[in-house]
Amino acid sequence: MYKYSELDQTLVNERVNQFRDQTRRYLDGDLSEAQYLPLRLQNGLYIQRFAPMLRIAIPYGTLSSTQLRKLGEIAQRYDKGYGHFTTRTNLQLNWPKLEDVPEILAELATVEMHAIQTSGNCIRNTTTDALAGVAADEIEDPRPWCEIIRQWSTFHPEFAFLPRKFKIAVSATAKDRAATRVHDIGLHLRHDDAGEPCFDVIVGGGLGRTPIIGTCIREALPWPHMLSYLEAVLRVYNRLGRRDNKYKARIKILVKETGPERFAELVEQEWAHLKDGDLTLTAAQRNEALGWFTLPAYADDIDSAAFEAAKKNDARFALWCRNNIRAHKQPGYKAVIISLKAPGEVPGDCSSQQMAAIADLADAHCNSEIRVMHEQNLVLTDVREDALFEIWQRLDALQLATPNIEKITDLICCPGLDFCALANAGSIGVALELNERFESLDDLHDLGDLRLNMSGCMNGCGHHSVGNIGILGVDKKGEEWYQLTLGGSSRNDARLGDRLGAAVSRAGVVDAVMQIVEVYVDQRQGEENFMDTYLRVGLQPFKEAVYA
Amino acid sequence: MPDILNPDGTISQDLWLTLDDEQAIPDGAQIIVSLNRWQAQRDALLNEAKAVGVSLDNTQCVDALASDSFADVALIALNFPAFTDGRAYSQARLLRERLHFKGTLRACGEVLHDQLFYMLRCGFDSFEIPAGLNPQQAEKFLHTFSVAYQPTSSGPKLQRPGPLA
Repeated sequence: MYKYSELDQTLVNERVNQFRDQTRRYLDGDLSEAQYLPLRLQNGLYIQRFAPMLRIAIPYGTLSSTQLRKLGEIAQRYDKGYGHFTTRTNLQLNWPKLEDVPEILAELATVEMHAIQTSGNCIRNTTTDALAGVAADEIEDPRPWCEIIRQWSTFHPEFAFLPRKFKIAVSATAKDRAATRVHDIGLHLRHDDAGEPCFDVIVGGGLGRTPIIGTCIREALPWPHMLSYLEAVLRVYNRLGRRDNKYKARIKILVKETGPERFAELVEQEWAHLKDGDLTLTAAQRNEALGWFTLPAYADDIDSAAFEAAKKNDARFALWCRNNIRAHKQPGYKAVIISLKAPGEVPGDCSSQQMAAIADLADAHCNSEIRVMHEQNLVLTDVREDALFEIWQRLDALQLATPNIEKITDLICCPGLDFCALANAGSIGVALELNERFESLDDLHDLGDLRLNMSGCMNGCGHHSVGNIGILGVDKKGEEWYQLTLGGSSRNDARLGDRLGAAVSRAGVVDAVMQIVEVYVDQRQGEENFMDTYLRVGLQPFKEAVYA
Repeated sequence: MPDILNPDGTISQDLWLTLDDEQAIPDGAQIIVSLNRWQAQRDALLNEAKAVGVSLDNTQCVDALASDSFADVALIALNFPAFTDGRAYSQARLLRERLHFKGTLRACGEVLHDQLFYMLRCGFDSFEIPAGLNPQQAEKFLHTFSVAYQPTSSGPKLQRPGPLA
């Protein structure tokens, strides 16, 4: 994985010093609350409902075992012994003390980590496919491009005070696993006719209170121009994005109000000046970037027969293999998804002990590397098939082997009312109840791939708009209610969920989801998954069942 | 007269006088006027004043102006109505990098300690003094970071991505 250069380390060390000074000035009263706010936000520090929340950056979801162990230690020493992995593939600590944050950042810097730009109206962490580099269906490894974007966007002097936050995702597989159509910018890497990498540039997608699917404004952008084109998009947005209303400040509103065609023209006009300028990437730069992500040395003495035998001998192991492992480019290897969605646990939470144990497993079996998925699970990307049984046993003992990846209980969920100052409604309680009720049901009916996403407010951190089933917490006269949507997706078939009808009460929300699933089970034909059935039968049968 | 922060961290007296559109020009003054007034009275202003500066709203699209719009202008004042409003960073880079403006580029409005580094990198070289600035520390805030990833017309040069120099 990427190792810091001297420049990277210098920058992060200087950032630690800067934030230590800023926090001291704030605590001394030299900085007002309003002046300290954007500074702490650009260091990932929020003041939440009960305590500050610190969001630590995990660039494109890649972690070393040393880093994960350090995160566990920090969560133990400065927090309550756990952290929460987010849909931006970052890690949140929910209970650190403000005074401790400079020290936490200093500790992070010792393992090449930071909290830079994990919040605030700036360019956030770039995300990609958690299976980057190993996925069987990959066109080319997206991580070198993500790292180039990380560097370009870090402390970009022109774009630190944008109208609103800005999120970039890169997909390099035919099957989009990075939700690129619901990002401010989504880059689709593919090969042009000459076999050179190029990018389709999708702009103006987003979730939140006005969910919009992005529009492709440029096809097949040659790779040398990736940064200059991004700079052109950002400049147009910085100059023209609305600043009068924070709910209309995202680039998706600018693209919508301007019209995608006109917006594309504005970007092209700006890019005409930047094209072939200082940001043009050279072959030498590309080659260096490719060298940052070398593949491990794969073995060819793998006992795949032992793996097959283990599956035959243990039905629980076989079920876990079916749901939680993914195909690998390399014969004899698999990618293992570690479920952070155990029944009774908060989706995405991971304890310090679990982090340390996962780090040990990565050292033993995965070249000391761990990935974070935007679906809030972890991945060991390079595992020998004949090690899978042992890994499963270890994970099972750690409550990390729930066989539910991409199933209904693998839900994406924000911290909701339980932690977040913005939330209208609790999400975690509902998630736990869903988990309890669906665990046995999934076994019974084999519900297949079914994405259930839940957000505690319309800001949409839980990506409810693109859940096959979406749940949005709303406030009605001080009571928690839940708005349901069906048919959303963040994949290639990206679409926003359709509103089912009036919001349902806290007491009724889990029943409503049960009824929706029952309609699916009743109506599905053959191998249809939930999404297929929904697109075929439409909203009506679900509506009738829930509002009967 | 208020003071002004220079890019080397020194503080000097502000010799520039900002005039309303109706205000007469004091003898031998260095004046800052609105873009409208500059466009309407260019020759007269250059004749009467010792030097002329132009103040721009942060909504002004600078590269839509004629390329010689700022010929003979010695200073352009860009505005930060709130420090969270970052439009003038783009204006500064366009003035320096596209219009090749060689005069003084001044940051006005809500200029705070922690934005000085970004401003300097975007091409500003004159700053209204941040409230509560300790002059001893000004240099530190201008050079918070010794390195940078992005090529811009000023500040540290690009060192990545690409082989280290």
